[in-house]
Amino acid sequence: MMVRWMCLQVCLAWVLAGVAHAQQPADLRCSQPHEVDRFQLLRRLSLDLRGRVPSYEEYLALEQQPSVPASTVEAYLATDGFKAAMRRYHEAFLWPNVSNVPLAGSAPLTALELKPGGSTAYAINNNARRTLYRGAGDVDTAANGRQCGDFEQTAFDPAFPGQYRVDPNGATVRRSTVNGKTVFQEGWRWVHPYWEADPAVKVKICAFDAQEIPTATVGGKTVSCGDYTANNRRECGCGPGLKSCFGPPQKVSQVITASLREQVGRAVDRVSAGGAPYTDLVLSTRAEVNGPIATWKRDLSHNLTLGRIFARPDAAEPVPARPFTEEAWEEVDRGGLHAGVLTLPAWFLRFQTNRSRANQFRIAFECEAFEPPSQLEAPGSGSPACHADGTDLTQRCTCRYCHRQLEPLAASFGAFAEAGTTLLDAAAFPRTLASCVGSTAGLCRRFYVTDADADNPGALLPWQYADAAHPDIVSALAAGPRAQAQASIQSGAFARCAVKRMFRHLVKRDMHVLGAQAEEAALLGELATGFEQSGYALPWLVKQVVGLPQYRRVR
Amino acid sequence: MGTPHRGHVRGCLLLLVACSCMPLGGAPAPADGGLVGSAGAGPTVQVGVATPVLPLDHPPVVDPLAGTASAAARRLSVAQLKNSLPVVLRGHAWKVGNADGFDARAGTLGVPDYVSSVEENLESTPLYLKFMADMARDACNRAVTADAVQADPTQRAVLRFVEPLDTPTGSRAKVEENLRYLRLSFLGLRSEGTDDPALAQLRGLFEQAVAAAAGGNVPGRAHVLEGWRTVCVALLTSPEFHLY
Repeated sequence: MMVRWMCLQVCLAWVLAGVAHAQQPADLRCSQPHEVDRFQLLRRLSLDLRGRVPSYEEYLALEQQPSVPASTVEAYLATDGFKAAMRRYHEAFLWPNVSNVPLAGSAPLTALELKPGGSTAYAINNNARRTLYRGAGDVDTAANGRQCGDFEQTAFDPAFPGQYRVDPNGATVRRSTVNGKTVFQEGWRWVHPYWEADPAVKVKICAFDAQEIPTATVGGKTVSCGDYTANNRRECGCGPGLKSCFGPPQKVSQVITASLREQVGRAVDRVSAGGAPYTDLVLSTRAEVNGPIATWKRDLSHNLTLGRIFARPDAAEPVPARPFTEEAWEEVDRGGLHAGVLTLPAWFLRFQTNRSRANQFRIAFECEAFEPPSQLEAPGSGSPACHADGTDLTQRCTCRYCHRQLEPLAASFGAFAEAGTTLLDAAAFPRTLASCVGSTAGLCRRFYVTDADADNPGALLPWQYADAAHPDIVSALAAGPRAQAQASIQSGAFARCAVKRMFRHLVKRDMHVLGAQAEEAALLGELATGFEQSGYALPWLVKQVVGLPQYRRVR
Repeated sequence: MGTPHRGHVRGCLLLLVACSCMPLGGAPAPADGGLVGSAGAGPTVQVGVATPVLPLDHPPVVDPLAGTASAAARRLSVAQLKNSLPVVLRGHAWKVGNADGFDARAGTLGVPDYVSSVEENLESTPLYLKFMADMARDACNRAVTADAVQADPTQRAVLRFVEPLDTPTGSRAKVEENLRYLRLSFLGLRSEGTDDPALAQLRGLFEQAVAAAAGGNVPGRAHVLEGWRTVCVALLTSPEFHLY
């Protein structure tokens, strides 16, 4: 493989060199390892630490220097380029892009041309809601146009001032008979939407969808019209400024997912350039929040579909009262079981199951990956004897090879919603709900063991095996990901992994720490110990690695 | 570039493909790691588990794991290229339409989006080479065109120590000074004296490009600018620029 790679590089040399280098012998490019000169060292440092080559003037400044001064490295570490480089470095194992995750529970507001050449108005693009409002999923009449109809609605129920309630039986709601069915068209009204910063900007929105009634009665309970349980109430619309409805994806969902990625980047900034210990990346309960994230949590996350992501704010989660268009960031303390990037929404939405969260934690911060066993286990073999089937993977043959370790790790994330971000507090999510056994209700099927024949029926799914037979799962559920991260730090796995990753990034090869070629095992230990003693200062680690002889030699 | 260069590239691309297939294809490796090929009928190639195949004229390759404590070489990432180009070209970038070329071609160049791809492909693929040739031609054209009308030499990216009328024969010292500047600025390689072979090669390239552009006539301003554009493209497509 290495020979192939080197051959490719030689070929790259020939191809790229073109006329200028056509005569250069290949052996110059396959030279023996040697110390790079100060100009090449400066180039290497600049590319690794600032993400760009040095300027001509910076090269010239080296003319009178015997080597690259230590102050240059210090200066590079203080640049925005270093912050950006560290963001890219961490993105390679945090994978914070969640732009493919559909945040909108019900369909978002969609702009619709009501008549050819006529008005374009926003409406909730959901067949059930359209049917609820207008009597049919797709209304199109010659007199009024499509959906709500192309006319302005100005008459609202005076019994509910300021709520813009539209009386479907009122005189200003137009009725037609289509295919023997009565349909209603209520027209549109002007609204300033939350996603527009300029208060003078208003959009047309179908009047039923734009209603601003705050609450509705559902099953005898008063619930917010912004809650998904009120989605079947005709009097409920998107609320003031359309706050409960996802706007056009490019203006709302994409802004939120970009903010979630930036939120991870800001967490990285704190440890790369902000002076915080690297352990904060997996331990801190603090996170930065901007307007889009705050609005998503505060207003939009309640408008959910149980088959999609569940991102309601935690019971005690502070959500700043920032408008959607507020770009500035504010630090909040999320408290509880939160653990740095491991409980940020981007992590939870990128790794949606507890097993994948635990697995990626091991890969990213312990440099360990699960590998399947080389041989299958026969049913009944081993001690204790394995089972041929069943949902307890810690007991199932072959599967248990990994899952005996993975299940407790996954349980440390169990208090957070899978395919979601919410900390499932015991008040809202009892650990056992007998009424869910045999139930087909959406909430039960999403969160509880509904099969009466399964192990621990009625248990909240992560608690299914929280019993005397699985004490490690019980303790992991109670301790959360923070305790898992803390254990990794205390064992030294976290520091060793950080060193190995940074070495690989900067020296551009793996450390030689395994097997017969383990001549750098002692170096790994020294760097890991020093990293810990530095207070887990990431810049310290970077400086150590770029100061190694390995970094300053090339072959 | 003329036909000889295209042939050179095509030949190397074939070799590139051959190289990439080599560990898998080529001659079947005997279990005992012995020799393959008919004795006495042309060159033989020694292959086997412990003796990987090299091209017949390839120099010996050092085992990179044999206790040599050194870094490995790596191709610049697309982000590094994007950030570096305005540094060497004093603000000029690669454009595809109105967009930055590295942004417009990010997916094709292997930049991960962390949705469908999670690792940047740093292989020097034929596609990468093609787009880097595009990048070099476009960016160098912008830089040299701007230099041609920039009166202050310190603000120029390519013609820093020469004027557009400085011909290879008439202003040799200034041309060499400029080539030294370009090697250091683009590649971080310092040229010592005038007998540096790498500098001589670049000077030869410049002279040939100017002469070819002039077509047998006395070189003028446009021909000299074409010469510098050629040197710029050669540097931006050189391995020393792309590897570190």
